[in-house]
Amino acid sequence: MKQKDNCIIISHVDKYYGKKQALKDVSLQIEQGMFGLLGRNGAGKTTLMKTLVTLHEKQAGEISVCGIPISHAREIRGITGYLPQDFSMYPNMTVYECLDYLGMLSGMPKALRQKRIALLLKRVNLTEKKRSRVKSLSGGMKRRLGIAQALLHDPKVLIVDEPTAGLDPEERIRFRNLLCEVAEERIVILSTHIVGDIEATCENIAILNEGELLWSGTVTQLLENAKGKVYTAEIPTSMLPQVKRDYIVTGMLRSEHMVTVRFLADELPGGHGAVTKSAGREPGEPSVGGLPAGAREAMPNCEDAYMYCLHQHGCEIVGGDI
Amino acid sequence: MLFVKECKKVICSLTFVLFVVTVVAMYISQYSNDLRTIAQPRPRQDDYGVTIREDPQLIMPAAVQSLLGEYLSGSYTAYPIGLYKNVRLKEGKRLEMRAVLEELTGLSGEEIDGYNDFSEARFVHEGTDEDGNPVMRYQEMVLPAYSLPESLTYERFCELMDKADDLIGGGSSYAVETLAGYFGKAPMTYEEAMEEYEAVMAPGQLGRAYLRLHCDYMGIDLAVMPVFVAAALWQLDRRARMQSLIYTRKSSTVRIVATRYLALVCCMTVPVLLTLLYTVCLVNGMYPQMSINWGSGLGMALLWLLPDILAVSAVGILLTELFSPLLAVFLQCVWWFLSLQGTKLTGDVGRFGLQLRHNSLGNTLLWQSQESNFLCNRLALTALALLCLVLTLWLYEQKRKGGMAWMNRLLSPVKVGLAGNRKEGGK
Amino acid sequence: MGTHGRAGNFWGILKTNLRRQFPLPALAALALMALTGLMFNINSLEGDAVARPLETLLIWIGPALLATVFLPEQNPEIRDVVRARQTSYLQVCLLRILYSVLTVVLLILVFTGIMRAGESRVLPYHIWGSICSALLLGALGLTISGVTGNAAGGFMACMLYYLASYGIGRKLGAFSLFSMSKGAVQGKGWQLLAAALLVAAALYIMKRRRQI
Repeated sequence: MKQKDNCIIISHVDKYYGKKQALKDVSLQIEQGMFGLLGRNGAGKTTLMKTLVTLHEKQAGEISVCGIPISHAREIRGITGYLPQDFSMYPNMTVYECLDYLGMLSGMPKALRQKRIALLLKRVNLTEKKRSRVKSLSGGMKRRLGIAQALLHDPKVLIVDEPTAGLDPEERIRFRNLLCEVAEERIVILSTHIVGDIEATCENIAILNEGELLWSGTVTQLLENAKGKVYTAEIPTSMLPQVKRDYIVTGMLRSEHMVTVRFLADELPGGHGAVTKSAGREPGEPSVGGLPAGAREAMPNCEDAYMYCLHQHGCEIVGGDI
Repeated sequence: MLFVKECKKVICSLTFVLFVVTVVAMYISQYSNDLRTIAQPRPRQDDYGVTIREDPQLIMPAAVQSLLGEYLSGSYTAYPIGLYKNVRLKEGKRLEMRAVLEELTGLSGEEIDGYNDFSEARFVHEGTDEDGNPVMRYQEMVLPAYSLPESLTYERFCELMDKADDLIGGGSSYAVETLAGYFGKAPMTYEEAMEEYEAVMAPGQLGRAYLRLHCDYMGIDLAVMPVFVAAALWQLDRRARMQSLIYTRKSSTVRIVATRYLALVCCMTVPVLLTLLYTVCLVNGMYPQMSINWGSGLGMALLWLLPDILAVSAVGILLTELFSPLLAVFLQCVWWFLSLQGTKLTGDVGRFGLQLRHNSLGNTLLWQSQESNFLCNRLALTALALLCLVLTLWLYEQKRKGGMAWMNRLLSPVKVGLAGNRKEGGK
Repeated sequence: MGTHGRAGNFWGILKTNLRRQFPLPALAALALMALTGLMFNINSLEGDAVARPLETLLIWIGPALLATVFLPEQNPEIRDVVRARQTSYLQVCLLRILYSVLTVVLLILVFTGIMRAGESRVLPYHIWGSICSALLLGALGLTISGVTGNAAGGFMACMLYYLASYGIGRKLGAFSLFSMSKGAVQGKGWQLLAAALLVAAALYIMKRRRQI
């Protein structure tokens, strides 16, 4: 029972928007600490999060948050904090007034509100902006104010949707660190399509694609899964289009006439079974055209591992030609 | 306290400031002009005002004259569902109406139609003044000379009027039950004037008389203005993109919606109450020797005006929650307009409807005869307010749970407009 | 950028706006027109009676079309996105004002045409006066909604002015919305002038405040 009290259990959840199925039989267990939800835009991350904070109703399956079934909306709202992807606050209110107002709606008594607001403003480094109007805040400050409002009632679960989108690198690192601190004492679910954020903060992750759970486990397991599948090679610039056509390229570094590409392959190119993106080709069949000569195996990073995972589950990888 | 915060949101809005301006402007421009002391009628005075009498000798000629005038101008005024309508008859019905008039006036159809010149423009151009502006003169519409046939009984007259009302489509001033109200007007006698005077001077009645006139004017304002304030407050969350932050709070929907509604109603009641108190002070100053009992009058004033605020605000929040603030404003304005056009100035207290009119300091007896209608009307309006509030609560709860997404999709062009492309929840 | 490209761009912007901004206000205006036709007798009217349906209700097509001009960008963030485009937002607004004014004129012509067909004696000054009053009411709504960024406030200001004309029309003189119904045949030109000044003032203030 103790275990159930501080984890979120999602089992066989379905969700439809009209005829479109947004979540397909999703089952997950989320423990205390940082949990990352990865996936492309439109993979179902926001839907899953909104379902967890009672903003959407599921059509099938069970969810319990810290032992409370999701149908008990009022109790769930009492123990979850939510920072949506697209949010703002009354532009003409001051930072303090806004937090105070939301604190009231969370049913917090006045003394507690005062204490928590002071504490949180300090924590998100907005104490000096206490009397500023919300409309005068920068994007990063607004995000920090967002996290403060989500933590106001000291929730057991914090759910943040793409919190680092649009932040400058410095703000992003600060924000990630803040989330990590917060996660020491509660469950934090972070959704993002920026793999770097997950790598830096989360231990456990889940990957969603088109409403389906593709994979879940630790970051280490994900990296392990991609081990031996990532290579780098230096090729002439002229060969680049061909390599891009034949392999999933996860990175490249240009010099004058040469490009160092980073790509995915099931075994060393030159042999058989490269990971190719052309549909219809058997895995064992050698790819057409020249293979990158002198390719070396490389240590996978999170991004490689994520791309490999998507590929492994038959997702069509598009792009790379920007 | 949440209520105080919500009140602050209301008071700090532009729409509320404009609301206060309209209340004050209405008061100064209309009501304060009409304030006069009610004097005891003296014998052999020239004019004691007008009263209504169920007297065939009075009603018959006046009604026939009015019907003839409307027939000649080709247009009839009616209030079929309490809403103003101008009716024009097709040829067949026109001839039927002419037959009715033939019997009423004893004139032949040709004779009646021969007077058609009388529907000429009633403003006649009469040269220009020294600034070059045209001078217009109002020309009385002189109706043909005729006399009511001696054989015409009041019963037959009523039948004919009933037929005329049917031809117009109902709701005209010729409907038998309203004949007296429209055409039984006669100058008051000294005795009648004294009776009215005593009625208004009866305990508690003087204050009511002044507050009735106050409410008559204020009611016009309050039947539309609150919708702006309500719609503006209600769309604040949507505009500030704060909905999901508020939806995910622990507070119940009832607490959030009811507190906001209460804040709206209270904030808008305060300026109205202040004008009422100002009237009390003004009228007290007008009757220095009297101590006027204001209790029942103020009770009546609140019973008159509060349902207006309650209902118009509730309609505003419901339509804003359901559609958009602008549509809420539009629909309420249409309702207001239709009901304003459909009322007489004095003594129009229907059992249902948004607008009550009693644009007169006196006519106490007429008012008293309509008091049960007044109660019924205001209770109906309050019930409507409650119904809208309950529907809003339900709708809010649905949206909070992510329901009604089809409604959002349907209305997204209304809410977002040209710059579209806002991401919807479907990710 | 060549003239051809510019012209193409212009038509593109016009088309987008007609498709995305215009339909709802136009629908509201048509609804008002229909309501006027239903509520009032519009046939066989003469003299000041002609002005009554026009001044009492039809002039509200002005606010319906003009006070909604800034509505799509009421949200400051959207406004900034639009402002950053090559075609200045001011031009887009001017374009919308232009076609809205043309629509007001067109609808009033159509409505008075219907009245004429119904043998009402509509005189040129009735048409001119209705257009002036509709544009004044619309310009008032446009100014308040634009300067305050609050469309509801814009309509409320219109309502305030309408009520003022209703109550103290005599004191408003040439600016009374109901002057024709009260027998005046001139003076509506002042209303048009006031409308033009209001729009110019609104655009100037908004430009200075970097709202457009």
